Amino acid sequence: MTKTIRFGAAGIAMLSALGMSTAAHADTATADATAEILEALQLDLTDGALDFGAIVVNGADTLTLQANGVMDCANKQVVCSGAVDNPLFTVQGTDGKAVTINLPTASIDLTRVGGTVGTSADTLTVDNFTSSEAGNEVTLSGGSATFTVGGTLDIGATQNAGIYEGTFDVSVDYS
Amino acid sequence: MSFASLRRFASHAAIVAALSTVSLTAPVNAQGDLLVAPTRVVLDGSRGTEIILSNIGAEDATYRIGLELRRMQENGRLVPIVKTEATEAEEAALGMIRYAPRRITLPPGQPQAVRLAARPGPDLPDGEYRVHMSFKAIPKPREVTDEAPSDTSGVAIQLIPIYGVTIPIIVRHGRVQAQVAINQPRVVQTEAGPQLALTMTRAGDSSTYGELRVTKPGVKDPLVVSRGLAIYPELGSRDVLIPLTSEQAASLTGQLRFEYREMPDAGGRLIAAVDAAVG
Repeated sequence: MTKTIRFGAAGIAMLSALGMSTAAHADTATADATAEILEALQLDLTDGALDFGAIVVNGADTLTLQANGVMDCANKQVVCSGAVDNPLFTVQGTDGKAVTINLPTASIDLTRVGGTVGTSADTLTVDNFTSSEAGNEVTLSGGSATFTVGGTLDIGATQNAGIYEGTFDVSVDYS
Repeated sequence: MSFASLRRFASHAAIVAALSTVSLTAPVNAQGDLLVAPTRVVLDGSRGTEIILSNIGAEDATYRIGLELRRMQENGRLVPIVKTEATEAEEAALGMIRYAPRRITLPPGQPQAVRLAARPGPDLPDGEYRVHMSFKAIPKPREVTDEAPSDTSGVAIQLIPIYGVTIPIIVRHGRVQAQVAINQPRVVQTEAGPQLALTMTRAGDSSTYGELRVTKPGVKDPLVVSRGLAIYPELGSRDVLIPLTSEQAASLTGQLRFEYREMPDAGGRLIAAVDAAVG
């Protein structure tokens, strides 16, 4: 008896499901006619990583790579060579809208490739992340804007030679 | 063929159209580039919705979708809030949003829908609750062969950005409302050039979102339009700075009308207006 009732209930459920799908078909005609145009937000990285070039270490020092690509290496305990690079981002979205750029506020550790995590001679830190935009806010004039990112590298006196790797977060926030 | 899948198809068509125009200006795409639509979601009631995430990069990419907290400062900037510092309302907002999937791997040019819905608890007080949904590419592990140092005497840095976007997810529970007033419009000179400065005050438990239009009697087109201007409930007052061209700055004199309206696609209802003499 219980089984029959369940079966019956399932049959009704199936019928109502069929009925609903017919109704849904009727709905789609209207839905297609009024298809909404969605505003989109797009973020591209058009140019590589934050790269301070190659550095020969004579002693502890700090190096600031500005968001505009300028790095002052004069009168430092390090010798700079090679090209520097700033990541270049392109934001596309609502014309005339202001968006917030959020960069790390804490320092980021980089570890030497092949080095030991937690060893100071194998660890570099980057902090004071900056963007090319005043107040880290950019207006999408014409629906688009670009910005670049810079930072400050802290080098220890006994830094092991090699390539140091790390990641940092860049977030473009829509309000 | 359900209504939902057709609607998804229509959304994808919109994205594809957006992509084809966008690719003209951005020919070089990196791994992890992304497109998200729509750019804000308002949920009222139990009906869910979808957000389209599309891989617009040149390679396969894996994206992580998460919920974060942001608070708006008086200058309009959104500041990240760590979850341990969340207010009760922010915690409730984090707890009521259901979404899937949380991780998507997409080939280039491929969109996918992220479904979301709000499940407010039965005892939740009326109000507006908000989280910010983040879409972020997970970087691929780098190949070891890339890392051979070319110069063993020096130090070189590879600091890779992990980048993404966040969009607001707003849940309106029960009756919420807001009143806004526009105050002290003026043109100011800054290092970045002339700007239109004004203060908007807000009261009530709801946020507002819309566009600010400055018009002059007898001039057909608005002199200034600032779109997508949000004022969130954590703010009683928000400063607005709008960059101006020198032509715009020169024309912003005399008796002007300032209108803050909902976005045209949301009905364009007037939220606040003021007539003021500037200059």
